[in-house]
Amino acid sequence: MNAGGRRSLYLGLAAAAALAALPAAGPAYYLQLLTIVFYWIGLAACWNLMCGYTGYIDFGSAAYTGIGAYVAGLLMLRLGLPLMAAAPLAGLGAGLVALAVGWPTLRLRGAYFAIATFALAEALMQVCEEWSGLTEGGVGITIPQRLAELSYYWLYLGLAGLVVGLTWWVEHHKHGYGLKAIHQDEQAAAQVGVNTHLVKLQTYVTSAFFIGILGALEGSRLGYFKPDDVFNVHITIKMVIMSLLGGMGTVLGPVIGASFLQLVEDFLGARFLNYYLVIIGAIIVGVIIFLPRGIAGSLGQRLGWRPWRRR
Amino acid sequence: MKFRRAGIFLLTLALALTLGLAAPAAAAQEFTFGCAVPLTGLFGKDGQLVRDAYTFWMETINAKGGIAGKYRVRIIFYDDQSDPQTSAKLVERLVTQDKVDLLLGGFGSSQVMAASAAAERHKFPYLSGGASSNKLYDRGFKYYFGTLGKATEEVRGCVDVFTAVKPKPKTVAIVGANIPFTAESCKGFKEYAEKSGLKVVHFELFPISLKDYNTMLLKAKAKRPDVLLVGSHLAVAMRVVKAMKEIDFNPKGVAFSYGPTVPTFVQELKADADYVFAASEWTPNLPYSGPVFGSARQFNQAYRQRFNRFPDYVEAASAAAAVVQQVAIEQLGLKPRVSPADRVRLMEKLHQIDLMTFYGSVHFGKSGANRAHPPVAVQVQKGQLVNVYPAKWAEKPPIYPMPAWNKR
Amino acid sequence: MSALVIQSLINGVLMGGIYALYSAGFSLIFGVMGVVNIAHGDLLMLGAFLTYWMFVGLGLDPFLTLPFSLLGLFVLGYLMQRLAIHRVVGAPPIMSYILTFGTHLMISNLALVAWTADPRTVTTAYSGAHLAIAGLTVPWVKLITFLISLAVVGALYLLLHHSQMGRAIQATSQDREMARLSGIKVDRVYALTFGLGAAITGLAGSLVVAFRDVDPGMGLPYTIIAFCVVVLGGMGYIPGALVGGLILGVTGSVCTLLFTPGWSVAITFFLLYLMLLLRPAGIMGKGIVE
Repeated sequence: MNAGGRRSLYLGLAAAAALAALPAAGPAYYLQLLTIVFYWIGLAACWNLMCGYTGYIDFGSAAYTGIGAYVAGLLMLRLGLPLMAAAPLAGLGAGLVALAVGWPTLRLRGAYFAIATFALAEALMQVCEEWSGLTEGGVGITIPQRLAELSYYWLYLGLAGLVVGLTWWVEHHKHGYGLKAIHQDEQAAAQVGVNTHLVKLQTYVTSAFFIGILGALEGSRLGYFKPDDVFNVHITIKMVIMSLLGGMGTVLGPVIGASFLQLVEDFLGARFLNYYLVIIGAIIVGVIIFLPRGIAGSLGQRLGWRPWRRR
Repeated sequence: MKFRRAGIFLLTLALALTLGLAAPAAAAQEFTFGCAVPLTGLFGKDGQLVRDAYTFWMETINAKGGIAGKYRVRIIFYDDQSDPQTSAKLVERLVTQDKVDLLLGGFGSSQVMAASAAAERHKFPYLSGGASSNKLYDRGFKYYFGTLGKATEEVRGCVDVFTAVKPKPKTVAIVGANIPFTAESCKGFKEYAEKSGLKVVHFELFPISLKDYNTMLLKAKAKRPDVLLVGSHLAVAMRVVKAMKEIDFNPKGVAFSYGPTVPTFVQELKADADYVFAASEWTPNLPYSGPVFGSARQFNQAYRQRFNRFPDYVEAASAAAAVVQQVAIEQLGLKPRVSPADRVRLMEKLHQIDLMTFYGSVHFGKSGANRAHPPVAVQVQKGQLVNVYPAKWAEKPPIYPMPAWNKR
Repeated sequence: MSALVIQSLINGVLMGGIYALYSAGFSLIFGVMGVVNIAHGDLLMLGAFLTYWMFVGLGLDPFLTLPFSLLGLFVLGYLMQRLAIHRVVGAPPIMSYILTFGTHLMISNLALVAWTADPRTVTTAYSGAHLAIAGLTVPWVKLITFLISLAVVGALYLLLHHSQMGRAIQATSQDREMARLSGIKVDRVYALTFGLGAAITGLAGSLVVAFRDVDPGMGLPYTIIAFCVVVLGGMGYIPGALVGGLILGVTGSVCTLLFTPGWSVAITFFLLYLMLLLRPAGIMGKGIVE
């Protein structure tokens, strides 16, 4: 580990500690807002971990928020499990599905992988809607358990930190070189002895595991959901946009992208009721035109922040 | 060079964002209400209706000097993008950041479920006129109230009207979109149809994203039902009518849980909209009247003047929710900067209140669900919505059976 | 029973033609420029609204508005390419996702402010009119749309393979640098391609509004279906749009009849998934793999 890497690690830990201590300053709206920001950082970081490093565009990540929410929800409703037991099981469920799905699907590339994963997510949503004996179908389920407001703040902060930390670790570890080699040239990577399929599958399952847990927790936080709330393609789109906006394949990309989008949306939505989405669209176009590597990627490169750099 | 361009872009962005900083200052002598409604996404149209209804209430009451004649009303609207997470977040924002005095309810079952849960945590009464999923009342909430009937009961008029026509139909087919309100409507259709001695020969729910309605309706057509009952919202209702004509599906009657009462339905479908029935909680010719808006008919006319179109029953129900909350405020003598203790009193008052309004009687009782209104059915006749059921309020008799598509 | 199956097949084939029509432009733009246009559905929406307003305002028959939406959307597409999209040509496709996602937000929300969220549709004297043979119904508007779809896909194919402009487009899509060296104005070719793709999409929108409701927020689901259709048929292989559209349309319709509409969607998407696993370059094996 080089000095720059260590410094960024300490910086990150300090930031996380500061954020963890923040609620002591008293209750306010920003805690609620940050809770949601952390949730999205977690999701975007999961997406970035897999897709940002390998270049595989998963367009069906919402399948895992959906599976997570429903597995946990049904475990709580039908078996009376506590949320803190149901959520890891939900992550496990999502991970298992990812294992079964990833094995054959990760052989596809580019747009074919994107649409294959999307199709599977849509199919799962419909199964969930139709299999009403198990899931209550399109009318949705009400979740009886909810943690205290601040618990979600710390849980999401912890999970987001964990995934971002994992990304950092991957960036500075052999596994990461394998992933990046896949991004650059999969065949060449295989030739120099990287078990590309295994590396991809490990990452895909890990990412799905965390997405599943996040989905399970968010389901309980909202208290009620139906299939098209938790399997919604907009969840995937948001994960993609946040990662790209921040800078795909960078450690801090999803952190910056998710915070930026959520905060800007909250800020503008309160002031320009009719036009805020137009303005956000214009900002996205502007970022891509002027900062084509995303906010973290481009600024990091220009300011010479080594750890933010790609490759 | 490139760096400078990016710098200028970010600077402009920052500047533009700061210009948007206009902190709303709350005047001491006004009530601030907060409301998160869907203005974009799946329910963008419906959310706009609800927003219009509240705006109309605000303007009417401010023209009279305000609540209790002296406290003006201000409403902060936010767009929840038809997304429950955003809806709950915005309620938190309204309560903790904007520090509104009270809330007004949103639209759509998922959003209202999430938003009302946030309101319950903060002990803010949440009155909705735009959600009717039965699940809203299963949670044992103390601060949630709805002026619409439960979805399963709301559609009753639509079934009952067919028991009053001659020759009485024998069979019905039921189809509906698989989202809470419409799916529960279908459940209600089925329950009341069976109670009324109508045989349900076909029952099917379909995804809201369904692209091709023709084959879905073809299955219903093959069962040759006398009547088709559809669990719908506006766009679904329009698609069903278009597909029925394309596949030449001619039941003797067709009824929708929601859709035809929105003026857009007749405006866009023109003559094809004729003869369809719709459930309604409210029509302007009902003998209801009460504070603020006067009679149902007066509300209807004033609304027309303001928005250049007639109100739909969801708008009436939303405006009624605002009125009921206002009357409770006045009866308790609350003043702006409503305190947490005031909101508890308001909640208790709302559980007791029994009020006649332009929208009909409102009595929430213990559960928060409004007392069931007498079932009403409307029909589109020559491009006009007319009340056809029950007989004592019917403006015209129902036209049944409806003429086949090729005989119009 | 068999009449029902035949009728559902007819419905599926017609639906497939419609899918193909609104996917062809997407395929063209991806095939030539490698750009995944998320604002695709919004171009469709603009075409639909152009027709709607000409119908409401001027009483013009929707079919008579087709030249206007072709031309209008061509100009818009040309400008879009020149002003924004050209920045991401040659970059990884993912860059175009996000740029065009921003464009999608702008177009759909400006349209929402201008036209409200009301669902609109064009109802003419012949709306819902159908050809009735032996108890089967074939709606005229959808039949004509289907034929137009065949013609558009055919014409695009001919244009790309048997014309001067087509050869320039082909050369550019295969090797940009070589094309530039051999004197082709690459930027112009791209702008023309994007304009053409947008024009066909606008045309599709004009036809869609004649049998379905449209609203400013309708775009994204249409984009996603187009993406599925095109990937199924093979990215960048124009006739693939027709094949992909027909597979999705017919499967959807027949499964709706045999099972339920919900299971039909599940089966259709699962089938799409399986086909991609088995034929990773599209069902015809002629798509671009990367």
